[in-house]
Amino acid sequence: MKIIFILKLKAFLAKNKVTMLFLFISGVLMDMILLEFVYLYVFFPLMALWFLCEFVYRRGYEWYLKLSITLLFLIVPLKFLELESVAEKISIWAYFFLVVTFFKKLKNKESESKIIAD
Amino acid sequence: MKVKLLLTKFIKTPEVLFILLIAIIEFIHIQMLFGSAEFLAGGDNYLYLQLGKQIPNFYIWDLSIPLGGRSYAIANLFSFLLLPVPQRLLIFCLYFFKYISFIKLARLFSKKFSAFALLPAMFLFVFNAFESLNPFSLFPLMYGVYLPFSLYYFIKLFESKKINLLTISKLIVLSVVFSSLNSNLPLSVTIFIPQIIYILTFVKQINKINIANLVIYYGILLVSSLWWLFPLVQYYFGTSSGVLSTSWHDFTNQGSFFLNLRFLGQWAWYNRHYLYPYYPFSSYYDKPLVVVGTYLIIFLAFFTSVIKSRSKDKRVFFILILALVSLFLIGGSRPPFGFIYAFLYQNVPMFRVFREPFTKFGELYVLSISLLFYIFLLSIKERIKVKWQPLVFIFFLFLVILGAKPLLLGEHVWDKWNGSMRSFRIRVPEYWKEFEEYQKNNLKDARILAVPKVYYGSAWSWPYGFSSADDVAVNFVSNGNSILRRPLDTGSISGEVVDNIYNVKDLPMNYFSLLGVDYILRENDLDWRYSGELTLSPSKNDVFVESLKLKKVAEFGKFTSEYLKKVTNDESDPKLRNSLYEELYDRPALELFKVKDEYLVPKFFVPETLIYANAKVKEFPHILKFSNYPSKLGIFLSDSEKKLSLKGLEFTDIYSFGKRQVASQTRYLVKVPKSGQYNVYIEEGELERIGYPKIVPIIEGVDVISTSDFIASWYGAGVANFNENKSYEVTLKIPKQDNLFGSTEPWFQGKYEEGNDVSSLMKSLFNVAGGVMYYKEIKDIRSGVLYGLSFDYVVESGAFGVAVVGTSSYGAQVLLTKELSGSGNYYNEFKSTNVVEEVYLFIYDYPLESGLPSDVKIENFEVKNVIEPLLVFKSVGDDKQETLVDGQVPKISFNKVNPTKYTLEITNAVEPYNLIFNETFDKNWKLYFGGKKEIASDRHVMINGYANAWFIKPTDTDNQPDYTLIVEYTSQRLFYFLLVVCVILFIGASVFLLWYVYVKIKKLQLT
Repeated sequence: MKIIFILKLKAFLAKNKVTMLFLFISGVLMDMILLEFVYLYVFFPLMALWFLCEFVYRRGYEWYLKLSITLLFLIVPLKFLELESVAEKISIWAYFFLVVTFFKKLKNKESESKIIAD
Repeated sequence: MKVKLLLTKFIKTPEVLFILLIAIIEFIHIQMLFGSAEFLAGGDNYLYLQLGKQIPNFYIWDLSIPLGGRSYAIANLFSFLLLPVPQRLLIFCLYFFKYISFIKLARLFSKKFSAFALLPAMFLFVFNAFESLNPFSLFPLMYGVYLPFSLYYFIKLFESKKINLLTISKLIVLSVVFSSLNSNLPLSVTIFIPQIIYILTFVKQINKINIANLVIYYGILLVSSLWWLFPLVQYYFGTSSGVLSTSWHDFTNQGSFFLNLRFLGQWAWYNRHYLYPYYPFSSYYDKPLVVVGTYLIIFLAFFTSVIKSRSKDKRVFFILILALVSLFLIGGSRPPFGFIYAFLYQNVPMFRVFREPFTKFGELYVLSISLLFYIFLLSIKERIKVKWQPLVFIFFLFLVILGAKPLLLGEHVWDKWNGSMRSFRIRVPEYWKEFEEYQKNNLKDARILAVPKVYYGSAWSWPYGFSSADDVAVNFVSNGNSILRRPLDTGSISGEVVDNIYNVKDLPMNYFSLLGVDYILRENDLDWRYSGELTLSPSKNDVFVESLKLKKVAEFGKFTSEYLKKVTNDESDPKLRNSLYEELYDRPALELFKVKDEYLVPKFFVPETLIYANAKVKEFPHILKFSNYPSKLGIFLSDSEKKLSLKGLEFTDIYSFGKRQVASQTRYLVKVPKSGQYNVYIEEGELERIGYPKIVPIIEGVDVISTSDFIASWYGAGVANFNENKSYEVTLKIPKQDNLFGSTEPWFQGKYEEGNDVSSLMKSLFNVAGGVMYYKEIKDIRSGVLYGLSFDYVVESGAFGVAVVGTSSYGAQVLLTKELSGSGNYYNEFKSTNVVEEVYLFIYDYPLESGLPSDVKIENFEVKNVIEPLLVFKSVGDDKQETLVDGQVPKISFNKVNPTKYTLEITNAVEPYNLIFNETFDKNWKLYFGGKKEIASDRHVMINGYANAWFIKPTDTDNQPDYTLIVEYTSQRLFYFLLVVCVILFIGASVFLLWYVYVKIKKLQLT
């Protein structure tokens, strides 16, 4: 039953992956532009959306690390443009993706050591 | 000979030459840091003035705490502080070993020595925006040394493939050497965070050897730390529990993530105080080049993990985790990830010590980024051609120096005049040195009361300037002498007793006897202008000191016109600026007065009179005004909820103070401890404010008969009979006061707009960012006077906030704040302070979910003077009797063995008596008869609001009239035992290390 549900969910997500990615990116952008403060009820749904995207897109830790470093680089121009609340949100996402990188790498390491052990 | 050769060879190695280079750099840095100052001291770092003066204190009872108290900073093995070492050398050593410890840790990542990577990374670790917050503070500098060292040896231990007693010994020796750090709980705890992360990161690879090593290490560490851990735990569960339960300033949500990334984020970083920003160099870090430079370092440091992830270096992996975890911790309770921190902060009591996460966890982040940067530089060096290396090195060094500039040039050491903030680069005036010498030669075990009142962060009119967290006098006493003062709310029961001296007007001299005061030190150099409202100016202090009729025994220094010219005084208001000269000119800087012999009371005495009072600590000094009580006095305090339970004691007088009901300014509740006839008195000082109206107290079910009884400063309202188990409601009919809240003046509106003052106030008062705030001035508000605010309100939907705020040149001061919903009549009271210039009432309608403001109706605003006279019931003295008649009073002589032990010789003790010991009450003070037998433990109570009293019966002492007693603070015995255990472990570890070195040298000689 569970497997069927997961398969169905995966199929649904795969079918709508572009929409989800669009929703995620536009959600993050709108949060940055429209809201001045960080709201949990905005951040966590966006995080959940990312999780769903990740379910179908699946990227390696290096990809996430590059993404977070790119986001970190964006802080400097935003600071100069005095868009401090946007810089704050960018830095939070950068941190979040750094943490994701860490977990991905951890998983990678575990599977590597498993292969070696086998 | 071989060793000599090897040593010569060793000195010529690049590592040693590199260390010599950093020693030279540090020597120059120290010169920049100190300038021409004698000392770097001030604020919380006032203790530097005690360098080389104190002898090691291994007593758990600290006499330097007002009226004595449990010591929590017992971990004081950092012996070089106690030797006469110049401060420059001390600071040099701390910085130098900070470099060394970083080098040691960094070398874990590369066995090959590389100045190319080490120098910029090491500079980044020592000189960055985070380090600029504490340029010379002892604990943060010590922490900076200890953290890399402890982490290095911990990693070595964890990676060891055998039981590694050598590394364990090193860790134990380090922990004992840096034990002083443990008096700062947050720092002592955070040392273990990297170790825990390391264990968790590699938990799957852990084996039996690892576990054994960790168990041995943590086991020995715990045992060797018990000597300081035990008093610290006692302190936190005893004295400080009051401090922990009070509301602390919460900085957990301060700063922002993008600033934290580049080591910025302290709550006051962009804030101002009086004339200047707290950190005048903070704007430097916002210059474009510095912004780019500081962020670039962070990017490169994180980028390292990309490069190194391919080489599967597990240590780099650990450092990356440490950086991420420390960044999370620095973020505190800020969204989105701060809810975990907020939960811990609100629910784990001891977690409150981390109320300022940036300063507590910042060093962990700095260390991890510096290491990642070092690793980045190592890999860059490998990838570039040799000919480009010098250029690249200069570039990265420049990048680090860009962020280090204020620190390298010493700009981060505060050296401006800014009201109560004075320069940290100081020179101690000669007159303080003269006082120090005088008390050393002439006073012993004396309790010296300092006047006027010193507040936390007060300033002194010294030529270069000085401001301090505590009274500066504490740095200039020795020989068992102590300073009685109240700068900080330590939560100690003694605090309020001391504060009464400054709070209560016309205090009788026997209150000083009650506190065991021997001398009074008058500090005329204390700058009253920027201190709290109870700090008297020298001329007002004249009146106070003269009223005490003291005998001046010495004076030190003189404020001549030449001297006053040297005193920094940059006040812009000419009247305020000149008041300093008017008040100080031709005055001695310090004056020492002796309390008259008739008011001198020894540390141990038998009270001639006993009084029982249902009163709060801040009320009971008023009792002394009712009668000509002797100086040897014992007052048992109890609140109205407790019954008279001291069986066998006879009291000369019984008092009961009315408990004012805050909701209504004229209603009191009174309970008497013993049935009988009582005189009712009302404090006259408060009635004077409203023109002495004739007031008859209305007490339900009791007839108050007027009397002609007269007591100065008290209005005798009559006499009546009261029963001991009943609570009486007393109403005083006080004439209505004028409403100070103008009804005709309009309300102002303040809209939320980012950047304006109203918006920041709105944010801080109501925690909102939007909408409109209404405000109006409340006129004729005086400092120190209590006012009552009341209004009627009906909230149809939503809620509203109310706040009373005082404005001053220091910024806004919140006097009252409340969020309300529903409907009713609101009443609350507020008091203004002497720095407040104008007072405003603010109202804010919180927005509903629809975005519209709440539907609120408020009317009948009133702000009135609160008339709150003390109401005192005093037992009518028909059945008065003295506690002990002449000839029955035992004679006591005592000898101080040490601060935790006294021997007493008692003679002529034929009747039961009370023995008072005027040190702060603590249940661990025990009384022994015949050396071993503990006596009167069930009759050990608090007296006089702070002291110890034992009610001793002849049967306790085998009915002997003459005998010896021992008063001992028993926790000291356990402390001695634990200290011995620690010393044995320390010596054991040191001997083991020395033996290892010896064997190594021997081996070298053989080869």
